Amino acid sequence: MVFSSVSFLFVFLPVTLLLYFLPVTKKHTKADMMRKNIVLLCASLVFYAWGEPIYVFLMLLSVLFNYVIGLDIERTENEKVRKVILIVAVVFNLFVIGFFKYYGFLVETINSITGLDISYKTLALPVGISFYTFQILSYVIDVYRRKVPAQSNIISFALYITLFPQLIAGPIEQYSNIAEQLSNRTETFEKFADGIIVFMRGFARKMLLANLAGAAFQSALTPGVENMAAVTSWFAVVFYAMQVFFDFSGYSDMALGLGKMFGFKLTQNFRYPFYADSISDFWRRWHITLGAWFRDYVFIPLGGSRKGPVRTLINSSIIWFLTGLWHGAAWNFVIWGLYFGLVAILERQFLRERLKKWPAWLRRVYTILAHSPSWMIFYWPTFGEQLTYFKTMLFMGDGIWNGETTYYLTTNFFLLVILVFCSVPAAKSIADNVIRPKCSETTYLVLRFVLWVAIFFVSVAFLISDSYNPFMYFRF
Amino acid sequence: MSDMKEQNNTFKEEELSSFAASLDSDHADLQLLDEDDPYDSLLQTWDASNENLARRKQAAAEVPQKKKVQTGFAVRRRAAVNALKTEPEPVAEPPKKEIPMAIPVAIPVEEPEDNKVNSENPVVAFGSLLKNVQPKNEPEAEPVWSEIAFEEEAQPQTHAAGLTVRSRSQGRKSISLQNPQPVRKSVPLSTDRESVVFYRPYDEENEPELENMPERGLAMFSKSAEKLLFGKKQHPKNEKKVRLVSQIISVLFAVLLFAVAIVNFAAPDKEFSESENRRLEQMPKLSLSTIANGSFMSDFETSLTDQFVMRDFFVKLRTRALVALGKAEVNDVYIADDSYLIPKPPVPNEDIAKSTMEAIAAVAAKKPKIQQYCAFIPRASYIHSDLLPNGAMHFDDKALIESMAANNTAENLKHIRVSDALAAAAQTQQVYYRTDHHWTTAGAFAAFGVIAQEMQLNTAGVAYEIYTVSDSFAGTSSSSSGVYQVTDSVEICIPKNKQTCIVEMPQESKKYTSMFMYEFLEKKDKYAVFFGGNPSIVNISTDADSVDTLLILKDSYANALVPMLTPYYRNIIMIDPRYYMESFDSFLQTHRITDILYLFSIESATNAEALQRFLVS
Repeated sequence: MVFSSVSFLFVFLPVTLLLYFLPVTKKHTKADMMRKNIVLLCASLVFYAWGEPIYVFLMLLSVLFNYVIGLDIERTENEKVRKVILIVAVVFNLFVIGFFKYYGFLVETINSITGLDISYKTLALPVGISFYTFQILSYVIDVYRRKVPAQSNIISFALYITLFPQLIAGPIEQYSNIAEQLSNRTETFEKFADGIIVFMRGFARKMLLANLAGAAFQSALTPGVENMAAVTSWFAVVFYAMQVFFDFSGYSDMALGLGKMFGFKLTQNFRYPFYADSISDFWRRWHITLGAWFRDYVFIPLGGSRKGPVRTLINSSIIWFLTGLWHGAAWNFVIWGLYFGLVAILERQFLRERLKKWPAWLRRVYTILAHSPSWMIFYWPTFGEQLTYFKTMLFMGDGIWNGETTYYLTTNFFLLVILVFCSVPAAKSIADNVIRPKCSETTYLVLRFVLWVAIFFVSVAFLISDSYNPFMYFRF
Repeated sequence: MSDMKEQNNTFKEEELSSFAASLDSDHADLQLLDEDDPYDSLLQTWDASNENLARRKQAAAEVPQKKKVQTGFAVRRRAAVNALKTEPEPVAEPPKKEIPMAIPVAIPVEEPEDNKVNSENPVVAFGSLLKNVQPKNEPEAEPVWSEIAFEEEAQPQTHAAGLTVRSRSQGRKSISLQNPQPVRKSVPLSTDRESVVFYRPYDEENEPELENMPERGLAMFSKSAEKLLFGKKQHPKNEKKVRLVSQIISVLFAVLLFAVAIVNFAAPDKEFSESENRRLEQMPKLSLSTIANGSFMSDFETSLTDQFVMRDFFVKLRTRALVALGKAEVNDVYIADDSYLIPKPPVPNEDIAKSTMEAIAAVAAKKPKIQQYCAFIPRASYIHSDLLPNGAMHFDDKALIESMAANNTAENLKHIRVSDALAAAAQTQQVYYRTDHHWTTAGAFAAFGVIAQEMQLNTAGVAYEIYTVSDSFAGTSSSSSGVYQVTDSVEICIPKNKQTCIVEMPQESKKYTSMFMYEFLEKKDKYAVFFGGNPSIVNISTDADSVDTLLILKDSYANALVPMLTPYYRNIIMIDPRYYMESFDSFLQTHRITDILYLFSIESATNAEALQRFLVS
């Protein structure tokens, strides 16, 4: 199931809320927490099974296996044995994701390199496998590192993996962040009200901004890439980047809001990435939890930056490679990751001092220009298509400007303004500096609620009547 | 800074304030990291202090018991002192060197309840605060330190932090403390960089191990500073009010969700949407196989969407929102001038156009005795291109038709060009519906003039009468765009005194005495008044003097025109290749055809494969 669907919003969510908050157990007791966790777990399984009626069993198997492993690692005293168990667990989990996500990709790559013709059956990718596998790994490794105690309650453990707000599109919560909340969290009206608003914000980002930006991108492609004018193609890139950002951050917001309604505090995953003033800064603001995961479980174990500049460079490249590969089992995603790595390293080596002297707006413009081409690597699966698009961007399509450019810009101008406005902290700045000082906490809360309910209303109109409502994570 | 004495191991007030003063810019912590990382491309992302922590953990694990790692207060303090000390001058070996912990800049809130933003100079505020809180007659000369962990900013209005810390590392979540005191207020410092500080009083009993220390480093306050910072509670009345409003919001939202869910569930399902002119999805049947293949879930979602309460209202709302946003097209329909809703033409497919033309030429070559005519009809987006939004994509249909005619060499195949006649008629009449993709009867009549001339029909003795049969037609463009307020009138054109005809639809086993199905005027698609839509094959027998049989291969555009042809042929057979499933070859063998007329919208010739597929069958 996805958040941006009527089944979720007007069937699943009300029922789950009802069962969760139904006052049948005494509040703030262990039994109450247990009941709530069971409700959430069941809801999460239904949520997952709704989209993946078969693969839900794969996920349950994973949960069971890693539950046992976690306890095993904790019980074992012998360091060597612990290490062996850890390796078994990591290999198992990587095998599962490798088999379902990367098997076809691997065989295809081997075929194209060696000229062999190994046949393979394409498997449908289990939704969210990249997210929940990483969560499982963080748990197993943290238990091994003795950073956290193993979870002895299987309900709590299963809930950590399957918790529906973050199950299919993140954020990737590390177990240590959430362990405490599984057994001890409080749901308050303040959190609930705030969760609602955050959820509605995420919903609007997905339904209005991401889908409209996506439609604007697609409409630019209608005449064919060769027949696009350069200016159109540049704006189309902006719309596509906006679509990816608002889609992804919209989902993250919805996850945060839903989590909050149930008393969870999940990690913020995006922080105005298009407001970044360097490529390194961009990745500090984009998909933060993925970056944190790679840092904690790959980069630092590899030696991080302690082993000299050469090793650091290698380690960094591994991270960028994996970051790209994580986004999809195809070479364009790998190249996408490596592109960012390359720009980041070049920036570090040659631009760092100069960047500091530039005014902030120039640094931001530079950053946007630096990551713009990457989105077309992200979008077009083959090198040939990417090249065609880049040619168009470099005036080798239908000139610089044609009749459709006029139409494209006039009909999408306001959308662009709104997208830009929402992708920088402008609204937040206005709210914090202009509105909040002038009104009380309560007025401010009421104002926000009224505003977001109105926007929610429009978002629902789009949900019901828009035929263009893609789910972008089917490759993650 | 340099005069700080390490062996002393105590923080003096002036040390702290000098530290504070040294952080002289907004980006002090950022610069700290910048100076020290050899590869900030990644390292800034992988925040330095965390790595530092991991390294120390590793070191601690390597020498488990022999060399006891000094933990606790003294070490933490020294770490802080080191951090202060080493910050300006980098250590000799860059890769191995200890990276100083990112020291946050802490700023006190002036007054928790009045929302004042203290942002002019945070550091000065920090320093001055410290000066304030260390009264000279305070008995405890050595301040007691508290730990500060940085939590990521969540929602400014619900928590309440005593401190706001601007930290480069705020994107990361820190460890959770066991008993974080509820903090009171956060002050947004800058728009994009802020963190809320959770704060715990220093507790010697539960002194955390060094490993468990906040990842982000330390911030230090004396007991009296704590009092100053956290002493004042937020106004309880305000807190109560916020809770009340939150309760109302929560209940309102929950009620909204439930109400919609219940109304959706209770409302009877509709079969058909008049305004959208399509069948609506019904609630699917539950079975194990439909669940396993997921079709139940997708049908369930579609049926919920289709049966949603006030669906028409929401569709209209979306259209209004899009138009307000400056969109000139909604669902591939241009909102054109003069209330015209003009479908956006798809890009012509050259391959299809070519194969269609080849197939037509092949039929002409194969049946040299049958006289064949080819009339392609331009679209509204060409005839009314002046009404389209500025720069909207459209194609030169006349040139397209011309290019298709250019390839033809067969003698018994004649191309009829109706574009100019339509364009001329458009000056005085409405030749396309405002709300539908079809041409009007007036448009068809204008084209008929050219067709009759080219087919050498003897129109001399025939008069036509035109009747308006409906004025509330909202067609396909209206349905798909969600612009429901415009309507058209529908006319029919009947040859005077030549009304006797028998219309037979053999595949539906139906016979009529009229080409006009007036019952469709009560329905949504009023264009279906002509032949009741698009039957796969229609036989029209007339009382015309001629003995010829005309075969019309057509799409829906022809429906409005065919009645005008009845006075000239004894038999007219209409075949819609989209729905006619028999082979063309066997049809020609079983019927005696004297003429063939291809009557299609140019779009059917360039973007649909049905005609070509039928002709070669």
